[in-house]
Amino acid sequence: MWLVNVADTYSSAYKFVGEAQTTLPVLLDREESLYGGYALYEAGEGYGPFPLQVIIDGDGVIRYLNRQYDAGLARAQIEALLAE
Amino acid sequence: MSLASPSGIVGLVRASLLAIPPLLFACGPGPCGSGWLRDDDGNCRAQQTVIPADDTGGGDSGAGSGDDGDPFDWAAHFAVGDPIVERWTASESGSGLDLLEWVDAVVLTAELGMVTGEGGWATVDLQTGELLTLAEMDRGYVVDADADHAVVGERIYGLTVLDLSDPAVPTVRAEHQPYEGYHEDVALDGELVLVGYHDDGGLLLDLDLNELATIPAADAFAVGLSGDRAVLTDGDELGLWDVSDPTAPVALDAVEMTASGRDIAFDGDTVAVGLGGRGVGVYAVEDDALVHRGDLPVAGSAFSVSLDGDYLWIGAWETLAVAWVGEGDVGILGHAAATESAMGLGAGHGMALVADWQHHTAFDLVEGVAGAELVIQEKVYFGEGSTDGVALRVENHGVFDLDFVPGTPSDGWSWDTEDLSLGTGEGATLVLRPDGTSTGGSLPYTSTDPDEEAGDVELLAATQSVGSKHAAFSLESFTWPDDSKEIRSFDPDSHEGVLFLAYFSLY
Repeated sequence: MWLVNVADTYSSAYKFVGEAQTTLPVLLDREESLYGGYALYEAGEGYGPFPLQVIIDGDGVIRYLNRQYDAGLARAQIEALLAE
Repeated sequence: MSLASPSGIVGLVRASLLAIPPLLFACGPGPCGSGWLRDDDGNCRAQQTVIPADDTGGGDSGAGSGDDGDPFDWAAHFAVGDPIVERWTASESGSGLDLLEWVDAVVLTAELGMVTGEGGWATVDLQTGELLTLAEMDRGYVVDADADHAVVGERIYGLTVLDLSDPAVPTVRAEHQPYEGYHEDVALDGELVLVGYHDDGGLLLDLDLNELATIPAADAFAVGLSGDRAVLTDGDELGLWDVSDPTAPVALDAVEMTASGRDIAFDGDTVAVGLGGRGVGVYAVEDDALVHRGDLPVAGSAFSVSLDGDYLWIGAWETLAVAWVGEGDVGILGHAAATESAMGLGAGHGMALVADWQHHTAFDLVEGVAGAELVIQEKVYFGEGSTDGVALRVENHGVFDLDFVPGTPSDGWSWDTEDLSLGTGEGATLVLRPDGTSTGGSLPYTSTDPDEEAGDVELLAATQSVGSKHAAFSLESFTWPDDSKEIRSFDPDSHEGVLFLAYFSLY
């Protein structure tokens, strides 16, 4: 699992990681170069809400996109992919 | 009348830092995302579901909501029509106001409402939408009101009780910060205030914000008060408490729900609980017990509910809905699209005030009418050049039958289904097939939904959607806690295992 911080500064993201006490890797997408490519990014209508969750399978294919928090569903998707 | 992290299908909507910890550490069912629909097994069905070219797909239908029993004769009580009419909408975008990002609302009188958001709270002229009194605080997150008082909970910091004996000029009666934690919901009834404080439980206070007692809970979230009874969600559990002595609350009953409660409306003997993507659960308090009356489906995530007599208003981010919860069955009477994102709402005097992120919007209720209620994705994404079919989910959330007639899709698409007739709570998954040449288009349709007699589903090509290969990328990272920067790369062609990316922003 990688967290991807969008459009914040390095220092603020770093501070957040400290406060959240997470050891997960945090990537920085300050220019939204990656985030802006998803189908759920609706051009002309501003940004979608966070958190955006993306699950990629072993073939590099996107298997899950969700813009609203649903940990149970995400976990089920991951478990299903790991079982394949 | 509360919510959680911002969402909605449109608008500049940034989640706060506070949305991140639950993403990382919490578990359990939650809402389906925008464009996703909950199927009969409780799973979210993605709008981007790919149907292989050699698969004919196929429809399905689901049972309606509600408890077993003789069917309620909706036609005997309701004429066909749209029960929701917009009164006005007002935008704060570009106004120079420091008060923005409205997230909750309450109707104070027939003339006056209140909205809370980033920067504080404001009273609203319900006839015009004009903002009247404005008060600055931190993020005004949740609000409830009763008679001459309102209580506002900031996201992290204090609680404020406002004296509304002159509602045009609210004055501060009390301020207090019990904990440095999240106020997920507040309720006010008579002389009593109840606040959901997660693992600190439900805190009972008086109007001067003196702490009276704590209702124990591992994850107190949504709260409600009505007379000497309190309700509180603790994860998936809904508890009923006797608070006739508010210094010594007594547990009366508890029931398991289908998902975590996000908001509660409690008036008289009726309790409605917003359950995110699981819709709304409706209960009656009978003989000090919680009796399940039925469930209401919603398009979106039900994070805000408010009762106005026999009618229940539901804020579900991209939509809002009004439901009947009076005598007989419970059922959705109609939906309306949110102006921006219906984060929170309050109802009363035959109308609802919606905290609509950078708008605030008022809707009037048309009593005695209801309709079929079409729920359909507005946009379907497909991989450019692909001949795989894409699934399109069509559901009827209304109390009357829905007829759905697809038209002729744009060139490069075929549509292998027939007209649909869906009863209450029924749905079908249909398949659209591109021939590999399409770069986009639309599918027109007609329906018997009173406020959606015709429409179009947009067909949009996307490079990164479900079913497509994720783009290769290389992004800067750092390794906690030694502050050493590094680069993390991803190559879809040499990737192995499962990768979960969770995007967040702090502003």
